[in-house]
Amino acid sequence: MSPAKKAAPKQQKTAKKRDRPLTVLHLCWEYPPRSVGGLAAHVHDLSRALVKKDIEVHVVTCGFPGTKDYEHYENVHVHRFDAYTIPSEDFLGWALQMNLYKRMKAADVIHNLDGEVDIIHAHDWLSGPAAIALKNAFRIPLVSTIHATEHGRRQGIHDPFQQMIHDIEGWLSYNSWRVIVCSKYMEDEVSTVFGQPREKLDIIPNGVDYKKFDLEFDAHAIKSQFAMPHERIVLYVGRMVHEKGLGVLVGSIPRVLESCPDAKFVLVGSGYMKSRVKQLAWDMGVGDKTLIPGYLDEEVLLGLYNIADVAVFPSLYEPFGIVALEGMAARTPTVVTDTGGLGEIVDHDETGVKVWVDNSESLAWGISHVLNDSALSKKLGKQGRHKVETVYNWEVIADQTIDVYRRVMADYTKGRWKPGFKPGVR
Amino acid sequence: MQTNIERALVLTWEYPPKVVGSIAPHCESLARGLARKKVAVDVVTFDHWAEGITKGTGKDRGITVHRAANPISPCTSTLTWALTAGVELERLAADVIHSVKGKVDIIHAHDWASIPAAVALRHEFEVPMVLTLHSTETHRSGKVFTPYLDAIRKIEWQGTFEAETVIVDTEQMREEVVEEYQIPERKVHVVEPGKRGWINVLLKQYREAMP
Repeated sequence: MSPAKKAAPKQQKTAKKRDRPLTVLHLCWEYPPRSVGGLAAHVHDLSRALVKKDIEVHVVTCGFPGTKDYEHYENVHVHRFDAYTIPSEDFLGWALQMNLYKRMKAADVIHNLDGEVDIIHAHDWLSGPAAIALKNAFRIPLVSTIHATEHGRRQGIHDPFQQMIHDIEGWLSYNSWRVIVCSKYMEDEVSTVFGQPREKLDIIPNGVDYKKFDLEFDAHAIKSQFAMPHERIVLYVGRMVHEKGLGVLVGSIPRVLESCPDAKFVLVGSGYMKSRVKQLAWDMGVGDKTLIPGYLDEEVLLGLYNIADVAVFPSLYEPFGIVALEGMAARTPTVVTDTGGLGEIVDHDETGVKVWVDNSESLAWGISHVLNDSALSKKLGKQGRHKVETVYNWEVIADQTIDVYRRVMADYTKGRWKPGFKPGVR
Repeated sequence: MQTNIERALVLTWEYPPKVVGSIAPHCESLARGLARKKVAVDVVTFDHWAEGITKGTGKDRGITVHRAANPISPCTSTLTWALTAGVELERLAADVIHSVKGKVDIIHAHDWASIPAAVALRHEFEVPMVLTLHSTETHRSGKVFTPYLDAIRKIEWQGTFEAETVIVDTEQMREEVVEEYQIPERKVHVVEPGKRGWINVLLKQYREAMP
């Protein structure tokens, strides 16, 4: 056969390819309505934002009783498989079996699309083995997002169980064409603990749906649930666990009260440290200035974010810190510790206030600094909101993600790693 | 049914020189038997100390052995070991299938450790799959039911469910497999390894498994 004849059908094929939208297959273990951690909301928001930019998005995720095997939900194609009846003695054994069924399901989805999937996008290690296997089988480029690492979550690797998760995270980053991380801090972590070159990593922050903070609410009714009319609310929202720095927060209360006796600390959330935090507040003699209401309905919480005088996030470890965005979105001045992603979100005295990590005095200074300066407080609220609208906006994030996809596809088109044939057609 | 078997992919967790149980010698004589019948054989297997591709010579002419190591170490159990190493096994098998432009006629898996890779490949490439069960979890651990052993039983069941044909070596085993995994009797066939003409019987099963 002459070369000219060979080239003819190839051109036709690329012309056909240009007609369809860029198609992305997301792999994640949870997707609404199932929501265990923050991953479900992240993938859901990202998928919806991508669809608005004319990307075809398919999500393959675990099903559980009551969910549909397939649904076209908010223009996202969601495919589910049975991950509920898998027998296993531990989470790791479950996760690895789940990855087998996940890739069988995803393979069927890819065949139904005639193999026309441009990018496989995996989220965290819980989709790692499936993503790696699919990449090798279909020779479709793989992009992954590492939201957090086992090394970071546990402050080191201490046993074989964690080592295995750690290795799978490294294996996934190694196999990914590009890796997306949410902050500079996570870029450092992924490049050092997994030995990945920085050139391969892209920083794309998380986003927040800031419009939901612009709601109508009865400020008096909400405030009366948490504080006296003259009191000024210092708000914390988050899980009540060690790494969130709640001990430091309670430690700062007496010093804040010295300069601002009307302060009222409202700590929203739940966790294994809840009762200890309560006890600590009473032991320090500030129990009457501290309120721990547990989990709140979203509507109340959004209102509370709006009426709070200052939002404070004293984390000891934080890969990103989405809660800080929520405070900023509600135009509430935000005080954060200068750690991980939190320190990158806030610009000191511009969009919030930064204080030292694990230091009650510094934290108390930051809180009083905002409470005692109403001009500064107003400025921080306004500029914080502006930063959220311009930087942590899902539309902007979708554009940045599409840039990564396009870059990978351009590299892929130039490269030699291609399918030897079209699977399914023999 | 005159379809010719040109290339077979054999998946096994052990293959000589790594010999732990009886599956390694079985797969070696199977591969040699198939190679004598002019079938190109690719054996995909694990060997942590001998990764790579070996083309056979002499008795092993026509056999290519692809050995994978597990990138994850340590593993917490045999189950998690098999499930992670299975992804590497799948990668080597996928590389073979791509390099011959999809012209693999059959995937032949041996026992549960190679089932995850085999069933995934069957979905990814739509290549028919044959499964030889040398023993079942119930043979090995009796009627002990723990979540761990049930996980292995579920993988074995998945293999029998996905496979076009299940091969066992005795009539008794056939009855047990049909009973335990509730699969149609016509799917399970007895092929006595080493018996005169057993490769021909197996090739007949391969042909019947093909679409």
